[in-house]
Amino acid sequence: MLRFILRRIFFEAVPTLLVLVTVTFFLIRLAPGGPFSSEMNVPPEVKAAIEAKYRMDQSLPMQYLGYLADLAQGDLGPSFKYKDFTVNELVNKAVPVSFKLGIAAFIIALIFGVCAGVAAALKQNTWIDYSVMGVAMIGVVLPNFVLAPMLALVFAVWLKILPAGGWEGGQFTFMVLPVAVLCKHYISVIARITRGSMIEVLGSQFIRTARAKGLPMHYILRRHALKPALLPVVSYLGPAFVGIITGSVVVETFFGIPGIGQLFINGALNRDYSMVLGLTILIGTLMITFNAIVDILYGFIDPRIRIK
Amino acid sequence: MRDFLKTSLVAIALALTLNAQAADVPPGTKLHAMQHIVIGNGAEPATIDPARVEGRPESNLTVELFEGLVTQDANGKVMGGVAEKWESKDGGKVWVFTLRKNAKWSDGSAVTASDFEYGFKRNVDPKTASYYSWYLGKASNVLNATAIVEGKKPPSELGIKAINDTTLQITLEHPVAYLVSTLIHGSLMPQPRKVIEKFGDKWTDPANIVGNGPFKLAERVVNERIVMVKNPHYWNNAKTVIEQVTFLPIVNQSAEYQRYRANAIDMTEDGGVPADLLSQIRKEIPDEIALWPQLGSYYYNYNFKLKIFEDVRVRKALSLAINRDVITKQILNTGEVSAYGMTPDIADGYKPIVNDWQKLSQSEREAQAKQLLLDAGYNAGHPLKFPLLYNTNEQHKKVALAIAAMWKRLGAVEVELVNQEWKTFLDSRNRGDFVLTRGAWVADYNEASTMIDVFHSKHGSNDGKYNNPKYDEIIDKAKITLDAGERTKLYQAAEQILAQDFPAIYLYHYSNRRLIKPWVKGYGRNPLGRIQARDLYIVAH
Amino acid sequence: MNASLPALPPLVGLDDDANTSIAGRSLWVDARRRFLRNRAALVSLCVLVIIVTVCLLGATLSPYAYDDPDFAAMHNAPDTQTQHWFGTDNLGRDLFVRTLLGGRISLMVGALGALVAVLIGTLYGATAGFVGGKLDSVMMRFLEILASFPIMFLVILLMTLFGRDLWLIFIAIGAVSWLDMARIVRGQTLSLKRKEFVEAAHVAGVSTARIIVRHIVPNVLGLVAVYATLLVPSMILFESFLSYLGLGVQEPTTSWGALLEQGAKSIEVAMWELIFPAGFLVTTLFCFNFIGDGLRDALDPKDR
Repeated sequence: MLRFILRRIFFEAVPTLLVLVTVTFFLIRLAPGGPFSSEMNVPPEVKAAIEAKYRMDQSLPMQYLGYLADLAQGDLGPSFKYKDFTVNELVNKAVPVSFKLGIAAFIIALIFGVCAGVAAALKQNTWIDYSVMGVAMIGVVLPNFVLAPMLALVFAVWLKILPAGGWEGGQFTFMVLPVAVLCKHYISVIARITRGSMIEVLGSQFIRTARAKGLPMHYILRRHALKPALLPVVSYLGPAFVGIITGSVVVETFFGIPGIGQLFINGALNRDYSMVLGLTILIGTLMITFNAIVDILYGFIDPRIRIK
Repeated sequence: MRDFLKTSLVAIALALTLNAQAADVPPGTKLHAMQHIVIGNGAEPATIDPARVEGRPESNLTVELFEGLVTQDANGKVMGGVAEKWESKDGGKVWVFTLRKNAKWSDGSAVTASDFEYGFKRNVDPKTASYYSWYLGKASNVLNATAIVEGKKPPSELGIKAINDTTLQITLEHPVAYLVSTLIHGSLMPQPRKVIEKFGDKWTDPANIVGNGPFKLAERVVNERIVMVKNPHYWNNAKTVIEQVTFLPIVNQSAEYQRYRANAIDMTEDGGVPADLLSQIRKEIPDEIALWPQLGSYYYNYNFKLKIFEDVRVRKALSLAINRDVITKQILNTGEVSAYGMTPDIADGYKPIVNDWQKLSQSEREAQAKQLLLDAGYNAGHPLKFPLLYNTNEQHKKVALAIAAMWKRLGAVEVELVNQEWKTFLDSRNRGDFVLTRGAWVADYNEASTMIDVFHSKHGSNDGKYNNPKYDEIIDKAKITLDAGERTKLYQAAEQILAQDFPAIYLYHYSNRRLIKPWVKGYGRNPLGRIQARDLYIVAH
Repeated sequence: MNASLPALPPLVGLDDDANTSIAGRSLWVDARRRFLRNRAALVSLCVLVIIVTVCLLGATLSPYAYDDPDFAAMHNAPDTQTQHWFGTDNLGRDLFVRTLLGGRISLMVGALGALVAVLIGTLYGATAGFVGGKLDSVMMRFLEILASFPIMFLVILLMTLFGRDLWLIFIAIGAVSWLDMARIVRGQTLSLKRKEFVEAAHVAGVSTARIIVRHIVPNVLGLVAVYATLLVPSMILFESFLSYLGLGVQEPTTSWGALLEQGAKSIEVAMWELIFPAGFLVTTLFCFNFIGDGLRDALDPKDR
């Protein structure tokens, strides 16, 4: 296991991140419009002065090497847009917020999604199945940009029981609506995948054998069916977890949550190169880490899948 | 001419003593126990460093945290800030400001003339990398400012000098009558030298920052909120009623609206009236929509580098064919005013002209437009085809679609709408990679020059590269004309050229539009849209 | 704890091998027969065909054009008299025509996203999982790079290089749609490749490519069908996100996602602006869902 982890870090994670940084570094600079173009056309001398402050007067390879040198020391550089902060400061403040929101949504999505999926599979083609899957389908179809304003309207404007937005350090009442919106999609997807693979597992020989032996259903489910049925869910969880803690752009902008999603979308829109790069590295690292965890989990779920 | 200037200055000084820059609570008003206000502020501000402001989200904050030489009252009238009075010498070329002795920084130390000298010099220093570094040179015409920005002279050569602690002298390149109006800008603040030199780029941190405005920074969470509390050292603090101001960076209008309805926001950002819900707002909370004219214009720029619009008949036809009242009264319907020229009627120092084609009825204009196109060689068989570029935005889209439909009715125009994401759009526009593009200009200060100057061939935002030496000449002359009446005439002459030359299609003048809770009082109708918390108070509710 | 997990493999795999020459045909013939027996799937298919037909041809029934604003009829409720059957939008354009037009774009986007995901995602995931070793590592790390790259820039770049074209949106959507699919398929493949029927094929000298296509892929198709139906709505909504950023379809063309977004803004004053496009979208997705389930059942090799 240790060897697996070490190999994954040094021979895979580091080169992967390096490729990611390099590709991102150059490609985002190819996009039209730079970080310092603004509606008011500033005189060229002014623009040059601003660019000099952010090393953008150097040649591209020099900028790249400079960036790598800083990166090696963990320095992501100054934000090109938010002049009062470095990327490190902004990301350090935003990460706990997004994590808190994302983990809450993730746990809820996992519990509800798996339960709903299993229930639907066990009662396949009954009204339970149809209603669970119907709700799940609506969950996938209903976009966050529709659900978020609707929930705010009902719970904040009409019922006046929850705030319509804000974070306030992550107080419970401020988390309810964003978490609800955020987990909706993932509950639905997890439920659908669980149902599909559970039906498949329940139809397989070894479960039929177990049932023929007269074992009680809940026992079969717990001891035999659940683990193989969860395999595709686990595959989905790696990217899903990263998505849920980093990609909640609509939720964060609508509810005014100071997390990674807002930084990322504004970074991209403002061509805040250092911010986009910093967050890309963060997302890449998370992606690699969680996929590695998923690969380890495979081994627990199905011992035939050995990690090497 | 000099006498005229003197008398007007006396008038300003007199007005000063009558008007205080503070909340003006009528006697007998029952104030709310909690004087806290929450204000929508649009995009997350790039900085709160006055030297580095980029636009409205930043300057909305700097005017609360700092106070310049002059400031504006609730209705936008220029009045003394840290400067108590001022006078001009040398025919308007040298200006001497006398600062009030009781002006203090939030750490208790005195605000002195050298704080302004330091601040202004820091603004133009290329090392500061300020977006508005050009302003002191191009708008205020301060001596050497432009040369310093261009790196040809050191910042120490700037035409500003602290004579003593309370006397500041500003020297200009040439006489400018409206200098004081330009000084209300959110970047022209005194700056605390000691703090900036000690902390560098980190001086704006809530723990470090020192300001001289009515409020001081208490908390800053990027993408969530900025909280300010009353500054006890502010010289006029006794008159400030609001105890705490919270600015929320919310770009999503429907999010802001829901929070406003949930009473979590007292005042939406400028422009924060969701267009699609207007009918509901007008029905349910008609008294909470605040609309008043803004000093800004919305127009479409022709690209003069291309052949297609060389013929003035084509430019005129496209302009005449647009029914502006449909756009302002039916599509936007939030206090915008149809535009027939660049300068809004309300601009200080301007008297509107009525140009010839403006007098025609819409059907007459359309008939003329058809004829003009026909004369220029365009008809149904050989239509005028071009793309219209705008940045992705609901309002721009609506206007563009409406105008495309109006042109379609001419039978000889085919327009293709092209929307681009903001930075891509800026890039296309700055490189001149467009045929017809959306443009807009919002005044930096209240004087016609800030608007009319945009179509000067040397202006940075003359995106269509319109170049008319006669027009430039008039503008250049207006800038150094001290007599207000004379200047107005020059502005009118310039507008007259625009009305014949059609360098752009002027569509409408912006409005200021916000939703404001009925318990918020004390705001006025500032044409620059600025609402300062020090003027506000909250009545019992 | 793993001892309790019996690893009884489905035995069908071996049959497959024995009759490779006819298995191909019988697999599909079989699948078709079983699919046609599935009533929900069949009804859904018919409804979907109707929706597609209406989207393609329905606009001719209306007297209105999709790009004709009517400033006297903005935000008008549905009315048979004015022949605005679905009402009008915020510029007085007919929503019936616009909903159908939006359907063409969104159906294309959804179908394309699903197709790319199924084709590329499945083969990519199956190959990585089956071959394993270094190739697997490289392929998975490549996936991680793609998934971490800020996709918005890819779209902006494509547009800068090739101009604004509907196809670029499809490419962008295709580019992101298959990533998760590949990971899921790889996970299943890792489990499948240790099963006896695969190992047997291996021993029998069947080539790797053939094993992947003949044994691995059919066994993951059920899951692929389920996940593909989930992708369709995601891709349709992704397109609306692109439109919102100014990278999607150009006005006056529209899509269901763009209509939904507009409808969500005016929900309190003009409900119909949300309900009609949403109704079409939901119906379509339910159809995709049932068809997906039907395909899953039909293609499941264990049921044969």
